Amino acid sequence: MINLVIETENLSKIYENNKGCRNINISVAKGEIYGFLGPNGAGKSTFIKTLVGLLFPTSGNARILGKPIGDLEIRKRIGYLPELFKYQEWMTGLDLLSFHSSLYKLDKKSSSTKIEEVLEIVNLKGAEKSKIGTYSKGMQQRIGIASALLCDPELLFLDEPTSALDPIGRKEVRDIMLKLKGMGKTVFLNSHLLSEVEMICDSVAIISKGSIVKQGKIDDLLEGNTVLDIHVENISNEILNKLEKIDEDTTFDGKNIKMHVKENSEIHEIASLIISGGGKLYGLVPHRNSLEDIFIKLIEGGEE
Amino acid sequence: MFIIALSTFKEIYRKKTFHFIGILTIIYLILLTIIFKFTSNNIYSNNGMIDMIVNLSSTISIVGFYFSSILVAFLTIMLSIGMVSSEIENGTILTILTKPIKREEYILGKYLGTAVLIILYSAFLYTAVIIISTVSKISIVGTFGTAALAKGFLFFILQPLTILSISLYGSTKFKTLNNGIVIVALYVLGLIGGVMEQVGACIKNDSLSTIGIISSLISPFEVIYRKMISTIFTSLGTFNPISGFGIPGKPTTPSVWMMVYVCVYLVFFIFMSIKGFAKKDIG
Repeated sequence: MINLVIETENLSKIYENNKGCRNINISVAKGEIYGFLGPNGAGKSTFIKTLVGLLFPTSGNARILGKPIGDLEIRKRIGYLPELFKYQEWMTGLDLLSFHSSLYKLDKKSSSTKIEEVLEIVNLKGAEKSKIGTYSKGMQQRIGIASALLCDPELLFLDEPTSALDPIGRKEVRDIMLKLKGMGKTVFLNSHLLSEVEMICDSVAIISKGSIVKQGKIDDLLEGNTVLDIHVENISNEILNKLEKIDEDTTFDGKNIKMHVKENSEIHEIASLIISGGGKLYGLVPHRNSLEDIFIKLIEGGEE
Repeated sequence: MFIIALSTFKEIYRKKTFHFIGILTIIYLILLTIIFKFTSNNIYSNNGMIDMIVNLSSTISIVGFYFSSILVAFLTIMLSIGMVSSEIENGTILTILTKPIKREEYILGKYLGTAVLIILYSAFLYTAVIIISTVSKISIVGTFGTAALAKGFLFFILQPLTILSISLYGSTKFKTLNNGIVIVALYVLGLIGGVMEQVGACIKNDSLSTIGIISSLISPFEVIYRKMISTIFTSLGTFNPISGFGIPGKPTTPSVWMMVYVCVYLVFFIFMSIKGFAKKDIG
């Protein structure tokens, strides 16, 4: 049985200007990195803020770690890094972590142990006594992640954690996320950086104009979109008819066939069809569509 | 709540506004010393005992306590207008309210942290005014009595605490700048209302007095100051800042019921801050 850490049922948060997110149904399994994708203004941050209890839902239900959203006890088991935030610049990294560990109600002993531990995870050991105002953007994001990790969360919400960072900063944060996954934590990642999501997420949901347009395991989403470039000769109409049964959008220009396959097992079937039908197969190259291709197709499709 | 209060206290303590007020306070206290020195030198050449008492009392109350109360009110407004709104504007609150604390703990912590600092500052200023008066040999200080001074101090801190409660409420509702404009306008309304009430009492104009009383109900900050002065100068009767003591006309000392109203006013706005903030969307 899959252990779900987030379950939402028609969760909506609609603002007065009619923007927000509506009827969101998602399930996030324990231990996965779940990517929540969408263009700017699609409603990603609204959704995450509703889940962590900053916004009150207009309708629908949600359960986090089995409890309704806003439950105080659950907040001891979740971490959250907002997208646009500013920590108290007069504090040192250590001050900030001490303050947040008191907010998590950790006792003094476990607080200092935990602070050491999270500084290690986010690679900020040695910089903890400097004021946050002197930190680079990447360091500020990392101290933010560190403060979200103080309670040893089972579930971590990260809202665009890398969008303001340079490539090195992005890689550092990405590595932290993978490290956390290795530690068995569930990460809910809001992002519009598709390559990043493709690299590290297990499942994704794509949101456009406040509604989910696609969701599922990332491998399933990508596998269903493999394009085959087949270099052939002697292709009869009978072979073409059989290929069109697999993909009705199959194209043939006399030398090359282009078609989509839903599963990798179909590639073998297509090669057998061509050869057994008398065709000559010179080349067959599968191109896996990137998440970006799928995303753009969905968003543009939605806009149409 | 105490974690938020402590963090608020530390944050304010490090704010530039607080340091600016600190410098302003030192300049003010130096000027006060100079004024008192000149007053005590010249006063004894005046005619008659009553005139001397009136002049001294007016000097101490107006220059000393009146400007001190304005300074405390100014500090309170500056420190409190963005208590919640500035944290919403810069996103600091997002990382706090998602922790296992109740929203009312956050609001009460903000109030408590700021209130403690303002009380400490007020205690310093109040004591400084009395010490400077004593050192400047303004003999009337000796007639105040410890009980009257202690009660006076309670009213001295009641004014900023009341401003703080309505400012806290505004800070949960409006943006920092808008809240600042509203609170300053309210404070000024209180001052004008107080003067209208006094003038109304002087010239026996009931309409003017009524308008003044209504203004004081909306903005009771000046009333608290008058209560403080009448408490400290208890042996001298009613005080009127326009004409001094002992003038003809209705007494203008705020009643006990007005003070009860002020306390209800203070608690009401804290309660409304908690209530409104409990269901506020943050983000």
